[in-house]
Amino acid sequence: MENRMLSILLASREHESLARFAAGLWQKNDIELLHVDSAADGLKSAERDTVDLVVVGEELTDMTPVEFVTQLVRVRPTINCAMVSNLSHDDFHEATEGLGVLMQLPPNPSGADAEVLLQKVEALASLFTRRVEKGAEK
Amino acid sequence: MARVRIAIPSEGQGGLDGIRAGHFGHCDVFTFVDLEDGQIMEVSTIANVEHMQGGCMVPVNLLAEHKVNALIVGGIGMRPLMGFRGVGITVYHEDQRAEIRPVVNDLIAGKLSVISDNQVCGGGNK
Repeated sequence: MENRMLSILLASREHESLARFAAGLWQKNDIELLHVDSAADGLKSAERDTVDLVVVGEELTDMTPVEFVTQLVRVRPTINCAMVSNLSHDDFHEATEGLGVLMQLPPNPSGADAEVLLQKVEALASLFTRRVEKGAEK
Repeated sequence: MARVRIAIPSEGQGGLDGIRAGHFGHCDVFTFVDLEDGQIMEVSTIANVEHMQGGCMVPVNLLAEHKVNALIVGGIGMRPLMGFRGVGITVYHEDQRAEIRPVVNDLIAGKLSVISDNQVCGGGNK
């Protein structure tokens, strides 16, 4: 991964529901956390700021999480995304297919969930790195 | 001379006489067809990268780095489509035929349409 802070945007109307998750993130070094309540502010932040990852809670003030992510991928498709959802695995996949969501998080996600998500971000970054290294060998 | 590189998500070994993969993100290889003034000059393949959930921008970057100009898909999600648009790769839609050669010929003949937002796969199609 690049040697700079990982900027994570938490988008949720209910900050408290992501408190344990955020606490898990805070324990890590080189992570910057931003927080918005609405999709509108989330989209502005995605356009304006250097956001690497968006974590979407179960509710926003102005649209559904899936609607938000659908707009987000139009604005900045390079941003990775995780979503809190109590849907079954299959229903979540159906609802978000094509949006490239990195991880479904359970309601009231924990610090351990944050750890798993960061591992997935790391694994994804390593795919880019390995590919670049392979290309350099040719 | 107008040089164009077309990419086709492919199964197995790929190649001009190969079979297309139904979804670009899960293909085995990408077949590259290089055109010059509408004539096929060279055909090559590259392996796709490992696929993981949420990793649909990895092949976007892969094709951009290989200077692909156009991609022919049978299916693609909204996020990778936006990614391809962002890097200047035009995405064409053809979901009827499995063979690579005829769709390449159709693209050369100008018979394929650029994919529209309402043709993307899944939940992003709203």
